[in-house]
Amino acid sequence: MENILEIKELNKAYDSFALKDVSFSLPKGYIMGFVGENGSGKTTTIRSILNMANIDSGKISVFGLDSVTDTIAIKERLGVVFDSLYLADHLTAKQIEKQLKPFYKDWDSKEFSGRLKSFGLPDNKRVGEFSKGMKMKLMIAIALSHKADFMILDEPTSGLDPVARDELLDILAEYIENENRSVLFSTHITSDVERIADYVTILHNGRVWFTGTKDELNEKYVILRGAEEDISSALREKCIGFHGYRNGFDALLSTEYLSEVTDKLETEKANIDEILVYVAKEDRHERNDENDKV
Amino acid sequence: MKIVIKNKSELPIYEQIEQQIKAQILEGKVAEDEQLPSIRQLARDLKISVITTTRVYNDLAEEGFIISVTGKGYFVAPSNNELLRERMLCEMEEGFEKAVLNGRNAGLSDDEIIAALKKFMEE
Amino acid sequence: MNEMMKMIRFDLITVSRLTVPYVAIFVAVSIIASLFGLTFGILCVVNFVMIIAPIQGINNSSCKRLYGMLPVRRSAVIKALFTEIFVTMFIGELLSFLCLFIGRSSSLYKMLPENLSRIASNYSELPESKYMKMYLFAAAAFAFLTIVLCFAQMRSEIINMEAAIREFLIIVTVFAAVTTFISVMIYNEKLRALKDILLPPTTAGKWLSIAILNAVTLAAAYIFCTVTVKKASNKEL
Repeated sequence: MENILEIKELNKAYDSFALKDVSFSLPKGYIMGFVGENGSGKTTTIRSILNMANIDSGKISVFGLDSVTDTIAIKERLGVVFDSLYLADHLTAKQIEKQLKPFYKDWDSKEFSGRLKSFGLPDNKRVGEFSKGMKMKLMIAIALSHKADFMILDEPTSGLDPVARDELLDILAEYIENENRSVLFSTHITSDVERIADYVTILHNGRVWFTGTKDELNEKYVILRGAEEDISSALREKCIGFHGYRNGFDALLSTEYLSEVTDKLETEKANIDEILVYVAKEDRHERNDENDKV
Repeated sequence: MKIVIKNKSELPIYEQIEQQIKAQILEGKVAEDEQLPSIRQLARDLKISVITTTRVYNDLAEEGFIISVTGKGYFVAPSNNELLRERMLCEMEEGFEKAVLNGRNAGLSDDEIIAALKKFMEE
Repeated sequence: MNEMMKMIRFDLITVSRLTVPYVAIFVAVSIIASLFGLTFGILCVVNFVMIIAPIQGINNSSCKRLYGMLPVRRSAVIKALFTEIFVTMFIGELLSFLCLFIGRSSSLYKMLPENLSRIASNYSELPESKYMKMYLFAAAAFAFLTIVLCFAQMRSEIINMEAAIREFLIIVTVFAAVTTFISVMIYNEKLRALKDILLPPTTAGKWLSIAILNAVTLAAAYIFCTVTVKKASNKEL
């Protein structure tokens, strides 16, 4: 399977934050949900893919091209949707088309005006007056009009109402019907990617915590519940984000330890949101432990 | 073809779709040799992942409900309904076996188990 | 179209909707004003400069994401920016020349009320050699502004906006001090030689000075641009 995006051991350090050995890849024809809490490094990774951040080490290829040396060739075929519009507010969609057209060999004006119509975007109104959802659709219309084969969406749904979010999923589902295209979709609203994503990459504290198909993720972890006296200390060690309370406990458990779970404990499927919550809890435990040692 | 996905169901999405397609094939609601939507069309229509629909079609093809014609897509398998019915019956029996075993383990009498089954079916 | 031209076109469209109507009205007003005499023309040109300078700032407003997604090299973006500064300032210079020329040639000032027309006619009746000084002054003003703008642009690209503004203020202060000093010296006949260089007595000499001023400005803009491309091309967005 041909990869549209390949990141190998990406390292990038800032003063207070660093991406550490980030590696993952996205095959052609699929949607990847790129999730993690705010500050987990999603945006830095995307900035690195776009060559907006200078990476310290590692290699990123898009369409098999190097993200640093071939960045122009990559961007010709890449659509980007940010959480806010990158264009001048006082222009109309028509004027924006005039601006962008010369930069793309494959710009299709018919496609653009068709998309404006189908997305319900007026071409004679200032884009600054557009709603958040309309701005997002405008950025998608731009990507579709230059025949982008790969779309990167950075937190496109933050601040969107549920109707606009659903519309976005519709658009992406249609986009991916063509098997040569891929989508990297960064979000912290995981319900957006829960259904539509084929692959999921979870970033946590600048590291890849999980990367693989969504089905693998769903099958890899369960939520474990029960009374604290019913869990062996050996199993408890293997729990992620163990949360004890007066009447019992809950925790995330890798399914490889399922054989050690006794009948008294209950297991349940875990969705991406729950997984993220337990991962964050585990982190707090570790910090607390360290503080205790000090 | 009609497919309804319940997000809150305990069954994974791929199983929900498989069951519904199987049922419609067995009931004859989908004619044999009829072409099914492509993997990507189905994913788009249901707004689910392509990997999920790929899995559905692979499973259904493996079980003989549909066949894949290279370059053309997926079709409902020519009527081998006897075989398929046989398989469904077999699955039913397996389910019964498990249910009866669990019931007996729980200390129910045979009559109580049958009564429970009847009640279940009325629901 | 090469990348730089695409970028200039891009910026032109961004700026045009905001400013083209104002600039057009403004040019018309200053030309009409010049018809009634030089004073009014000069007033308008000064205003013109004040309008142009903020336009330059518009391109600068955070377009990081835009540059992140557009298939365009950073160097082309920077080159476009410097070209835009130079060209707009050069057009401003030509416009002020035009106003000066019209102001001297037109006799419409006679239509003005008496006390106003006296001010205007004073200039129209200036001898050629004195009048040429005005051209030289306009050229020097635009050269100075262009160089300062280019320098500020360079510093803001390489470091950041605040540092650039601080440097900008220092440079303007130092420049003002030096020019005042030189002007006083020349006025007191202490620097005859320098005066002849700065203010050549002949018309041809003054045109030559204007040409040299423009050439120096172009060279400065080019150098600042090259340095910026070299230092800021790989900067993070």
